[in-house]
Amino acid sequence: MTELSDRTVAAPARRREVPEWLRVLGFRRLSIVYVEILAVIIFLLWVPKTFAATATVTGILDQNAITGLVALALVVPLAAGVFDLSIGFALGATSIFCVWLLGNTSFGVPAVVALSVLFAACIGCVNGFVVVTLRIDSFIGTLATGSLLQSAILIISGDQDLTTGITRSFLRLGTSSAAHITVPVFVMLAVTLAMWYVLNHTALGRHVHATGLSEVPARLAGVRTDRIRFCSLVISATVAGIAGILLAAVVSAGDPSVGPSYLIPAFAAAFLGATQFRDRLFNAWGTVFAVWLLGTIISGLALTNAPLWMPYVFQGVVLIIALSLGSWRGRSIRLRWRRLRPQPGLDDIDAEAPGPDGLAPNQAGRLK
Amino acid sequence: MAGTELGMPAAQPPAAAKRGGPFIVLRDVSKSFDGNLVLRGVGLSLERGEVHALLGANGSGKSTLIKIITGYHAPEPGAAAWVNGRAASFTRHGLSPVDGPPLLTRAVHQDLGLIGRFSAVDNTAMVTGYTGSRVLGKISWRRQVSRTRELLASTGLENLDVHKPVDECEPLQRTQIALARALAGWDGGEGLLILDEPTASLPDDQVQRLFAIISSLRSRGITILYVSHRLSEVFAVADRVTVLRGGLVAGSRPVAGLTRQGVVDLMMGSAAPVPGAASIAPAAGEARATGEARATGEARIAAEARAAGGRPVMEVTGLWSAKLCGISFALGPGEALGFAGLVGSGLQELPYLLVGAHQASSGQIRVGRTTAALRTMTPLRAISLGIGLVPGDRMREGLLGTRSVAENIGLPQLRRFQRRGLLRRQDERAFGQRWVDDLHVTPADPGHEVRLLSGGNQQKVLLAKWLGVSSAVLIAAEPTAGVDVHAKELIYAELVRQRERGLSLLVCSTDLTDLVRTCTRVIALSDGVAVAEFEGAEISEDNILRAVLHRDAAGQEGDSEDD
Repeated sequence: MTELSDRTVAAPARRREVPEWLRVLGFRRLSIVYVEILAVIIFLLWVPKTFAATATVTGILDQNAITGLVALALVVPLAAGVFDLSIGFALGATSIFCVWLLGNTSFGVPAVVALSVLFAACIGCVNGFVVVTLRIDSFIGTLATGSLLQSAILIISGDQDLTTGITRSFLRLGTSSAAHITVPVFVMLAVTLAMWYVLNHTALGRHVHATGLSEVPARLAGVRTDRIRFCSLVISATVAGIAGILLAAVVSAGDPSVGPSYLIPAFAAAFLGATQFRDRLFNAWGTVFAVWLLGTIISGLALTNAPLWMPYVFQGVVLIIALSLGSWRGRSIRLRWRRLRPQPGLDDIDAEAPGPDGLAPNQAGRLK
Repeated sequence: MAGTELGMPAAQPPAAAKRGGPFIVLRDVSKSFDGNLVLRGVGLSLERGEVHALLGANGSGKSTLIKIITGYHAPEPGAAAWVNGRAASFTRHGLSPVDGPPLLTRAVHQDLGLIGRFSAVDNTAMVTGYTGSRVLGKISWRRQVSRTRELLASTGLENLDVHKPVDECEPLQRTQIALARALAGWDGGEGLLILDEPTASLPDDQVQRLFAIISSLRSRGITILYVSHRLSEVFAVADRVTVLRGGLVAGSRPVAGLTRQGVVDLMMGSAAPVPGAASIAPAAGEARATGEARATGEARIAAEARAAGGRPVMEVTGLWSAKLCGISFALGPGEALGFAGLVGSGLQELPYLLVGAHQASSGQIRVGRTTAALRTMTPLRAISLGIGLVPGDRMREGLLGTRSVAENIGLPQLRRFQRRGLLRRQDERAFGQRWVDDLHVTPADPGHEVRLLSGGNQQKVLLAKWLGVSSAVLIAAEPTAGVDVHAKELIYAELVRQRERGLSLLVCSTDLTDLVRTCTRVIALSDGVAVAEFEGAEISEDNILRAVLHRDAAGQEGDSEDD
C-alpha cells in the first residue's frame, strides 16, 4: 500500500478538476470503444466498398453472438473469483445433447430446449460440486470436468456430426431475424442486460464482486461466498449451454469438435472487458464490446484478403495494448518490474519477522 | 561432517582460544527505528558452552537484539563487542573479530524457516548446498542423503525418512531438522546458536524432548542463546538469564537460586504484590495516577450501567474450541470487556468464534432475547444479531482494497440500500459519507479507493464498516495492529466514544495498551482458560501481563463468572 503514497496525496485534488462527463467517457474507462472506432475507420479507408455495408455489420453481430454468449458466461464465475475452463466443453456437450434429443426422442422443440438447458445446468452443478464442495482449485477442477464432458460428447455423438431429426422449427432458433438481427444476437443482448443489471445494480451483484475480490472480508461481511461461487458455475454452464443450443441451430448440426475453440476468445474478451466501463471489474458490457472489437478485426481483415495468420497477430496485439492501457498504468508496471529484482533496504519494515529464509543472513557467504 | 565433529567430548570446547573470560560480550548496544528507541544501551555477556536465556515481554527489544547479533540490523554507533576477549565489530555477517573471520552465528526462528513441501534432504541442502557433478549439475543424491543423515544424527534424529516432505514430519522432528541445518558446517565447533521461541509450535509432550536435545548440544560445548517469554522453559534449560525490559537490561542472573517471582519482578520492574489479587498496584508517577483516576471513573460508569440496565447485552456460556476450554462471560450495556493473552492462548481465535468465522466445538451465545449455538454460527447470522467483528488483519480479512470507502462500509448491509431490486448507490454513498464525517477519515471522500488511504484511515474505515452493523456489540480483534501512534489515539478515542454512547465492546488484543485504554473490565486468558479478571483501577499493563505470563501465581480461578 505504501507504494501508492504519492498518489494518495495527489489523487483527490486531481479528481475534483476532472468533470464528471469526461471521467465517464475517458479513455481509461472506454478505451475499447475508441479502439473499435479506430478499427472501423481503418477498415473503411482500407476496403471502403466492401466494409461499408449493412451485411458487414450484421455479419459481425451474427458471427460473434455465440462467442459473446460464451464470454458472458465466463463473466459471472470470473467476477466471483473462480475459473471455468470447462465452458467450451459445456457448450459442445449441450449442443450434441440437444441434437441427439431431436434425433432420438419425440419431444417437441420447446421440450428439447428446456431439457438441454437443464442438462447444462447439471454440468454447472457438477462443476460447483468439484470446485466448491470438494474444494479443488477451480483452474484444475474445471479442466478435469471438461475432460469428462469431452468423453460425454464422444459417447453421445460417436465422433460423428449429428444431423438427423433437426426440424425446421428448430432451425428457426438460429435464423429468425428482426431488422436483419438474428435470434442469437437478441439472446446475447438479453443476457448482457440481465448480467449488467444484476452485477451493477443489485446487492447480489456486489456480493459476487466482493467474493471475487477478496473472499475472507466478503465472508466476514455476511456474504455466502460458497453459495455464490457454486451458483456462478451453474450460471456459466447454463449460459454456455444456451450458446450450444443456438450454435446447433445456426450450423444445423451437432458438431462434436466445436466446443474448445470458443474457450480462448471468450477468456480474452472477458479479461479485456474487465478493463472497461467498470474499474477493473469483470462486467457484461465491457465483455460484449471486447467481443465485437475482436470480431471487427477478424471480419475486416478477411475482407482485405489478408493472409490467414494476420487476424491472430492483430488479436494478440490489440489485447496486449488494450490490457496494458486499461489495467496497469505505467507506474505499476515499473513497480512490478522493480520487484522482480532484489531490493535492499526492506529490512526495517518488520522487526519481528525472521529473515526471508528463516536463517541468519550471515550464513550465505560462509557455507560452500 | 559437522555431526561427527559435534560429537566431541564435552569437556574440551574445541579451538578454545582464551579460557577464563566470557565468550561473547556486548556493550552499549542501542537501536532506534524512526526515532523510536528500541534498545537503549544493552549489554550482554555469554559464557562459552552455556544456555543463556533472553527474556522479555513483547516490545522489550529481544528480537532487535538478536537481529543485531546476527547482522540483520546494524546497531547505533557506540556499541562495542568482544569475542574471546578480542574486540569485534558488527558486520552484515554478524560479530566479526578484527583479526579473524566472523563469529559463526546461526539462528533458528520460531517458524523454523523450512520449506514444508521439501524433504529433509532439500531443506538441509538450502544451507549446505548440493553435492554433485560440476559438469552437468546432476546432484549426487546418494552422497546428499548420507550427508543429511549425518547432520540429522547430530540432533538425535535417526531413522527419519529423509525423503518425506517436512510438513508430514512431527513438529519436534521439524525442529530437529531446523537445528541440524543450523549446525551444518560448524567446523571447529565454536559459534553461537540462537533459538528464538523454539517451543512455540511444539506440543507439550515434545517440549521436554527438545530440552533434552538442547542439553546434549550444550554438553558438546555449543553456546546457545535461548529466546523465550515462557518462564518455565527458562528454569528447565537455561544456565543464566538476561531479562530485557523496555529496551534496557533489567537484570542478568544465574538461574540457580532464582525464583519464578524473581524473574517476574525483573520483567515487571518492581517488586509488586502477587497479581490477580484485588489489591491495587502502587501508583508510581503521574501517568499511572491519572490512569487510576480514569479507571475508577470507568468502574463507576460500569457499575452504574449494571445497576441501571441489569441484564447483560451479550452472554456467552461454555465456549469450547481447539484452543479454548469452556470460556463463559457476560457483557453489560455500555461495558467494554477486554481479553488479554499471549499468542497461542486462544485469544486470537476468540473473536472469530463468536461471529462464526471459525467453528466452535460447543458453546452458546445470547444476544438480547435470542440464543444461538456457536457451533452453527455464521457471520451472516452474527450481523443479523447486531454483532460486528473488526478483524485483526485489515487487508486480508477486512477491506476490499481496490473498492471505494463507501462500498467497503456498506458491504455488510447492502440490502439496506436496495429498493425494488435496485441498488441505490447514492444511498450507499450518503451512508459512507456520514461515517467518513463521523470518524474524520481523510480524505473525506467516500468514493476514494481504500488502498490509497493511510493505515490509520483504513482502520477507521474498517471500524466504520462494523460500527454500522453493531447494534448490540462491537468485537474488535487487534484494533490497532499496524497503525501509527497518532491513529492509535484516534481509534482509542473512537472506541471510548462508542462505549460512552452505550455500545458494548469486546476487545481482544495482544497489545495490552489497547485494553488499558479502552476497557472497563479485562479477562486474562492463558492456555484457553480465563485465569484472572481485572476491573477499574486494577487494569494496568503490569497486572495483566503478570496474569498472562504467570499462570501459577495467578491461581486457577477457572471460569470468571462474577456477573
